[in-house]
Amino acid sequence: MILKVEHRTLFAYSSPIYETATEVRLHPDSSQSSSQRCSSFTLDIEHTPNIFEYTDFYGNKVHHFNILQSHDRVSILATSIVETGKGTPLSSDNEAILLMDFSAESRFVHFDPAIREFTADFSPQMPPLQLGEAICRKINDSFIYEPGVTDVHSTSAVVMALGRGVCQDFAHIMLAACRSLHIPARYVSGYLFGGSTPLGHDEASHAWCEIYGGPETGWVGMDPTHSTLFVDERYIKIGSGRDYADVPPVRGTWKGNAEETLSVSVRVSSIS
Amino acid sequence: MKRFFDGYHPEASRFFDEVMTGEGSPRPHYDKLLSRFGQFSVDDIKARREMVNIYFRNQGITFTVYGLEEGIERLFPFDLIPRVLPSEEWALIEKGLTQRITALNLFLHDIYHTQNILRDRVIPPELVLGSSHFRREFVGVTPPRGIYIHITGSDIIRDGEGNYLVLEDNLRTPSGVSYMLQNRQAMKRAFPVLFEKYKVRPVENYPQELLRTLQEVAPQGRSNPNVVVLTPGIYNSAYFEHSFLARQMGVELTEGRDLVVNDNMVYARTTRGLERVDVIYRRIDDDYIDPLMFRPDSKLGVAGLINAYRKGNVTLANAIGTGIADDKVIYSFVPKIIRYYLGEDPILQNVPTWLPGNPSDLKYILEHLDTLVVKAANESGGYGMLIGPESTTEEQERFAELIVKNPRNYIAQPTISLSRHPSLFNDSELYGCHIDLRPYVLNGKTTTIVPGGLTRVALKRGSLVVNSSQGGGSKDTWVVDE
Amino acid sequence: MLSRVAESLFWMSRYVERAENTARFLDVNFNLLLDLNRITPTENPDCWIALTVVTSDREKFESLYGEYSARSVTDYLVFNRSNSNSIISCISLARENARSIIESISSEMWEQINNLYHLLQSMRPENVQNDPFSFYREIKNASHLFQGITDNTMARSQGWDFIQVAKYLERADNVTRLIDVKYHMLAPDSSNETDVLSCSVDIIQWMAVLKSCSALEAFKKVHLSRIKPESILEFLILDKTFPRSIHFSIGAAKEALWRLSGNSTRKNLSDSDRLIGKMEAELSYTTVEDIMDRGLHDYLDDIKHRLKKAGEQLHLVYFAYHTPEIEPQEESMALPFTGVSGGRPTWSQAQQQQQQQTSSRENRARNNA
Repeated sequence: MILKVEHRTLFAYSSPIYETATEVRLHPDSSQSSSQRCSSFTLDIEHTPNIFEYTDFYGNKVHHFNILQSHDRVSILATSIVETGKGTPLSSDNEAILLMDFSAESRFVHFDPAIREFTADFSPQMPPLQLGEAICRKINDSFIYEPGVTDVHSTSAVVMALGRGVCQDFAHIMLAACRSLHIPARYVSGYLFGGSTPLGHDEASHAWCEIYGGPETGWVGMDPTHSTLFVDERYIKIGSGRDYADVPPVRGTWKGNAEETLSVSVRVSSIS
Repeated sequence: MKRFFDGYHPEASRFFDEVMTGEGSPRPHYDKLLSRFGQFSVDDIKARREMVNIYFRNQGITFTVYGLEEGIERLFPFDLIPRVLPSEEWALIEKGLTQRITALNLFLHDIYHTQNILRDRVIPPELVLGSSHFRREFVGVTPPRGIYIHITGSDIIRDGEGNYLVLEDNLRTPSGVSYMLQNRQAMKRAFPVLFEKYKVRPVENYPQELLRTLQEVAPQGRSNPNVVVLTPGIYNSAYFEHSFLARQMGVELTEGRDLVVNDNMVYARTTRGLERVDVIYRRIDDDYIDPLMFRPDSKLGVAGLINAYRKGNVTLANAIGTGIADDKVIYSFVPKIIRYYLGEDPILQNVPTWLPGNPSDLKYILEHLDTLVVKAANESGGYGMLIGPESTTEEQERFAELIVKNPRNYIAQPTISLSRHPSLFNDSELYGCHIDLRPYVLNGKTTTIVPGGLTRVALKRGSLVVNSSQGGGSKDTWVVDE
Repeated sequence: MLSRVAESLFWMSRYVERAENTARFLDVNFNLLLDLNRITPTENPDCWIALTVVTSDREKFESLYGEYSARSVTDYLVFNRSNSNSIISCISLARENARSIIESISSEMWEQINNLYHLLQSMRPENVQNDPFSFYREIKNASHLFQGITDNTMARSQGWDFIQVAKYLERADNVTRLIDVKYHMLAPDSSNETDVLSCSVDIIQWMAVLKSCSALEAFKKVHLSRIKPESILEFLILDKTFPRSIHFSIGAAKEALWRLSGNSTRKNLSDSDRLIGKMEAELSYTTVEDIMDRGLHDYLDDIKHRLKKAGEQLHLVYFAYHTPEIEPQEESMALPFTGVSGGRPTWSQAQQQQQQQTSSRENRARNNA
């Protein structure tokens, strides 16, 4: 499929602020091992600052810019065209050292007693992908999708206790469950064509997981938010990391005394 | 005539006494010092003490003690009797530290690039990945000249036989060098005659050497680089030192809010507009230095600084992520690090260290908590520590629990019999106090160590804690050419 | 020079000058009361009200104290820490500023300001009540000593010029207020006093104003005849040679500002240079009759307003933490702005926290689906 993504982020301020510094992770994954190809990417930022780029530890493309002058809004529009479904991903980044990062607890992923109990039924002897699929299904069955009950700082332990949340929270639960059973798993930030929420709306970016199936199989995408479970050509990957904190779409700092309001809109459309 | 040192008995047993041999006669390099002090009356000493105190007070040399009432500023306790180091012993320390810094620098370069030492399993990779001081943000970035550690203040102690051992490599933002310089100034005023008798090697050129080192590591193509010191501000306990070093080097003392990053360049805000900054001698920890990259709640840092650094437009001294090499767990691997990168045997030995992560070590530690010293792996300044022989059973039990719960976070070492040196505190009574030594290593194009350092003294009789934050004091350190 | 350092030098200097002037206001009011009590043996709360109005703000005082008296107003203007213009607040702020730039001033300057701070810390209200004259003299002398030390230990570079600008802007502002005290005191009861009495009270009051500027002797040397209000005004506002007159202060501030901008050719004048230069030129060609024609209060108000404007522009040019190439039309756009407005505190340093507030929007844009 050839998909077009328009991702608009707007920060508005109640009074002028200054010295904005912002990093965005919005470039679709275009690494050699990826099953998708990004044919174009543009970033339009109000006030037209110079945009710089680097690749982070986990191979994600990061763009960053700053605005010194006083301003009362920052608007970021990322437009990309991605061809998906180009076969299965290659497993070139299965380095043992990196795998350790995806096997341990992290900022949002905790091995709390609740997660131990949640995974108690699963046999660690099962092949990793089967185990991953079973966990994915169990999360999809037992957790309730409900925006607004969690926030961006909710850890897997908090979500476990609530039993509900959004895609980001489901992904963190999945990571905690897999890793506590010694399956390397990583957080993926991206988009889903045809509605990223179970109800089919397109209101924001999406998040899911990749499970490491071993040296031959490599990484396999699974989505605990949707009952289809497996990642297919409707999915566009931006990047991956230990958890949300490694791949936030936008993060930044500013100076001044003002209230900030954020609005985000995402549109994914099919070109062919 | 009663000699000044007559009343001093080193109680030689498991401690090495710096001044007296086991037989009770002075070591040769202390002869002149003993005979000079022998001429002093109690009043002479009092007069000199007063001279020194006035000097320190006028310089505003105070130290903020945390944990007591807010903002208590005290004079840093100072012992009038200097420590004397013969030049051949200094030569060994100099060689040993140079070797160590060279190896640790190669280690950091490796860790932040190909990670061969982890692939070769010389160090278990999980120890590095699991350290809060390993900065993933910094992997693949090469600082100018490949130098990570520009300024070090290693802690050196002596065991019962008098061997020099490295206790800690302080590779982040070691402090105390201003005391080394001020102690020397104070001693010169109080004991001019003694300086004539000894050929004391000078330390006064440290600020110039520091500035030269910082200029040498400026980003490429920046002739006449603009160097600044970056401080957390006046409420930091070492603010005096930050201000002192800036003044001595003749560079600006900046706070985070004085600097701004624009298009990956760092600028200082001046009355004439923005002025490019090339080298930052930063005294702010990694965690607080860039709210965009690390702790977002930091008000001390400069947003975007790390991206400017990554692009090679500014040099930070020390580099980001050096803390991984002075993690106390990694410390125990330094002898292996030296052999791995240099193919040499370590000149200065480590203090034996047990890691609770190894089951056999853990068993040993838990059985010997009453004799060991347990330290948190990522704390400095003597905080988060259990000194076995001085601890209560409850404290030992609390630490046992902590260690079992989080083995990666602790190390254990034998209670080291730090060497002792006679010290003079109420100006009439001499008694042996435990001391260590912190020389300051500068690492630019070449490695420079000004001869001497800060000798820290545990003032409390019998105490082994020399940290200034825990009520320790200091004395001047003389490297003498005979 | 770092903007922060320049700004701290500026405020250090201003606060010392302000403390001195508050001491002068209080000192002269005590003197005045003693003199007046001989003529009209009544309590004189109007004096204290007027003093509170020009040195701080009245509502704040009234929320803290029940009545206007020598004791309550002294406590408010000397010791009250919630009054940011009290002598103790000014000296604390001056010391805080000095402490943060200790490497940029001479150690003698630091010692002097630190000593003054500790002296005030050790003072009790009883000390002042028992011997107000010695106390105020001590504050004045400490300020003079600080200025003398500054002049004799500091290189004549940018830093010194910022100290001068600050001192003279503050002084001009204070003299303006001082003359206004007089205005406030006379205004309410000038109608129902007999001519003779009001006249002699008037003269005593004007003499007090002169004394509080240490100007009585200098004035007498110039004006040999009897003391007339017009000649006093002329002296305090327009005299070119007396170092506490408005004209002299603005001239001195202008000199320092022009040295700072290096604008000897008068090209590329910054807005603060221009505003101060214009004021100085106007003062040169103003007569006391012009002032009276316009109305004294109105005239003084205008000066106060223009001094404030000049200070704001100075802030924008040298201290504001934004990039200099942007020329904001409105002050509110020139964030962060440290000058806050309203009452006397038009001239106060904003809280440091405001200047450096950094906010993070990390994680705000979550993967929300």
